[in-house]
Amino acid sequence: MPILGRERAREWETVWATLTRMDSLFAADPEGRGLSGMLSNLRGFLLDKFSKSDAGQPAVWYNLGFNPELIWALGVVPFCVSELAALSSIVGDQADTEAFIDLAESKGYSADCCSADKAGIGALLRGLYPEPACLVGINTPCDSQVAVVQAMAEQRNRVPLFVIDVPPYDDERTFRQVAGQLRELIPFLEKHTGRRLEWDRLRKVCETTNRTSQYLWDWMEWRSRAPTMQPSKVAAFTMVLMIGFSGSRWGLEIARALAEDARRKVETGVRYFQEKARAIWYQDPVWWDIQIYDWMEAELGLVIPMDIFGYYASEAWIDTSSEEAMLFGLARRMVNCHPMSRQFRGTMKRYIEDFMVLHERFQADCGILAGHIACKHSWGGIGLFKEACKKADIPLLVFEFDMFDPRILTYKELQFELKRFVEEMVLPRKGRAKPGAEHGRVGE
Amino acid sequence: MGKSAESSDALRALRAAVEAAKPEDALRAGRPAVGYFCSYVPVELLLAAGLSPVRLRGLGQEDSSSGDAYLSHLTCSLVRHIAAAVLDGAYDFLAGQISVNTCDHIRRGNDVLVAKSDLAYHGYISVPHSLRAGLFPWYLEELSRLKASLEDHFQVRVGGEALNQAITRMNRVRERVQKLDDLRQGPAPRLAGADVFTALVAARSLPPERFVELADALIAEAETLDPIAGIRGRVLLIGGELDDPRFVRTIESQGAQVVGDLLCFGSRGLGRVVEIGKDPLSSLARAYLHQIPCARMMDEFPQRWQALLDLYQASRADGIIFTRIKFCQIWANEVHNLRHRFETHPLPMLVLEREYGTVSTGQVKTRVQAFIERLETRRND
Repeated sequence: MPILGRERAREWETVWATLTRMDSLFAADPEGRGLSGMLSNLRGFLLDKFSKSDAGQPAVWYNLGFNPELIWALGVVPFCVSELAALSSIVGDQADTEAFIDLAESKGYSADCCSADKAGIGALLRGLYPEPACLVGINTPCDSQVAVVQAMAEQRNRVPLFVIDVPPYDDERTFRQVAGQLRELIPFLEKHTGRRLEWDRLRKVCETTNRTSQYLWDWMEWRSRAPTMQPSKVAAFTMVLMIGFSGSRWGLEIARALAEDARRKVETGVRYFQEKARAIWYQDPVWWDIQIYDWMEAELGLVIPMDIFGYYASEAWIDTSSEEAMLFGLARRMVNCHPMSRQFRGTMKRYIEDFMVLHERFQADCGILAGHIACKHSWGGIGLFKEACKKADIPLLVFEFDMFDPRILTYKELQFELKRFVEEMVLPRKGRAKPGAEHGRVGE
Repeated sequence: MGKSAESSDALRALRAAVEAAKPEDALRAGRPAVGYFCSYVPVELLLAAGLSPVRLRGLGQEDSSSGDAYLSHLTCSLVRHIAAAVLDGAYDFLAGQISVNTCDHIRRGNDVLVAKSDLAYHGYISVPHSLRAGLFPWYLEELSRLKASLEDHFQVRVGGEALNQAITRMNRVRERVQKLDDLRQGPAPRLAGADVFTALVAARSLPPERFVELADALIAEAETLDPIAGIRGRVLLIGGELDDPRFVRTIESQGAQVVGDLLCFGSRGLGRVVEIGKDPLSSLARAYLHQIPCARMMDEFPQRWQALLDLYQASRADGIIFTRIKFCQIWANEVHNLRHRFETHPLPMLVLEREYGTVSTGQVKTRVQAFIERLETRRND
């Protein structure tokens, strides 16, 4: 299916065709308004990118831990290197993501690194992104980012790279340090994109981000109600939103659609399954087949009201009263609010505290640590995390898998793990603690 | 038969230092010993504080179970072994440890040590992931904060004079490291790469004066040794953490001579002398931040590549052996980057993944043997 009247690479066309089909499907369903809102704005976001790229506007590549407000403000085209891999998994053809991974590994990219980055490099090797004017690399949230930035830079070794170093702390000194680097980044971007940053334009972008933040906080509030009425499969989308859409009108509209859909569903009070247990999903979502969340709800009565990728912390507000304040706000949001970067780059204390906060706020019965095998920071903290859960008397499921690659843990294996945990651990415990404590009305 | 380094008392003492369960020489000095994780921790700072710096290693710990329980099997086995050694009491002589945000594995190792060990002092520094000039003040400030933290905990004052003295002491070590490097790089090396590497690892736990004494003896003895016979291929050893001379010995048992390295425990972190000046902390910060960069430095692959090419040429190497510990991500992609450069500048390379603490001797021998044959064929073509 052509995009903007032009033929594109098959992988992009596959994503586009699926998005278009799903959008029209959900738009016709009153219950699908939230998803439709997300999908239509995702389409708008892609159309804008293709349109700008077709017009020859410069592109800037970056990696997972960066938020693109400065790039939007310059009016150039942001491309996160993992973007197409994620889209292919979630709304395209999963086989394409796996092909990207295999291609990257065949060129020496290590199997030990994150599949989001491997697939990103695979897509890059296939020439699926417009050539960049420059590269921005950030060391958060993990070592895989340190590795992928270098691979990206090596693949385009004549393209200038700017590295943002985020220290592993979460204090004012750290925010100031990162804000100072954003200040340095501006002339770099201006030089290599040929655009000049207008501070008023950045202010507008930051205001859009602030409005987006308000919707995300509302969304979390609606999702914290028991029973949770909005599907589990959208719990992780804050992260996608921050990486790709932060500061854009599409991001704002996606957040609005999510929040309004969550509110409407709570107010309507209609669900199509019985909520029996609530889990905080910690670490990475299952993006190679998000239908598994539907299966969890329908078959196990297991709901994910929130996961680590969805959690939007309170340090997101950007003061737009001055240049310095905006850069400080952007820095603080990027290091202390961006899901993963917030929890993964520092000590285990923050990682564990956030889990406990989510567990309480979202009235969870248990935790599921979906251990993406490349997440060395979470595997490296597993002992302390288990101890904390044990001390807090929270049942915890831990398993190894890969968020973009079902060849590590298959659908059936994952189903087995989840079913056994819910039926043999969570529900019997819950029954003992509070008989009949089930939420929700069925099919009303 | 000619004289070999095997009869050297100095080499025996260096080997003993590497294999010892405790750094006896450092402990005999009577100063509190402080462990550190990474080559971006300036040991001069510890020396100036009257401490004995000891680079953290697995200490021959065969079992990493207590580390595995906290860190999982998916974490670097060096960090797991260090955690196990600390938790099992093998490091009971330490007065504290200093960690760095080198990588996710070390950060989590630090979390475990802070939460679960009895160590009385935990220092930490955040090292920038780039050498851009704008980031230098942060590193300098981190060193300044570490200095203040050491002063506070150990009730000492670290003045400029003491720092300059410590720099002088360590510069003597660095000069010996350069001489040892020269000895293995020459056209007819008299010291095996494994023996030089032993000395370099020992330099991380011996008091500087003791290392200088042993290194001088070894260097003097080397002059009297016969050149090593039967060298079939001259190789460079590059990559991440390696502190086990047995691994180098296994490589050399197949006719390879390791003529140089760019390893953290090798000469990479100790190769350049530090300037003595009015602001010794700045001198240290500059020298440590600008050492040949670790793969964690995100925009410095071109500099590592250039350092590799320079060393390759200077040591007249025939090939490269790249090694890293399984699950190390920051070094993992060096292979991708190197292979990308080899497309236009081909160099022979063998990649060996390892687990810390064991040498898969048979497997390493087989692969090195095949590699050496490849180098010989290439040379004869």
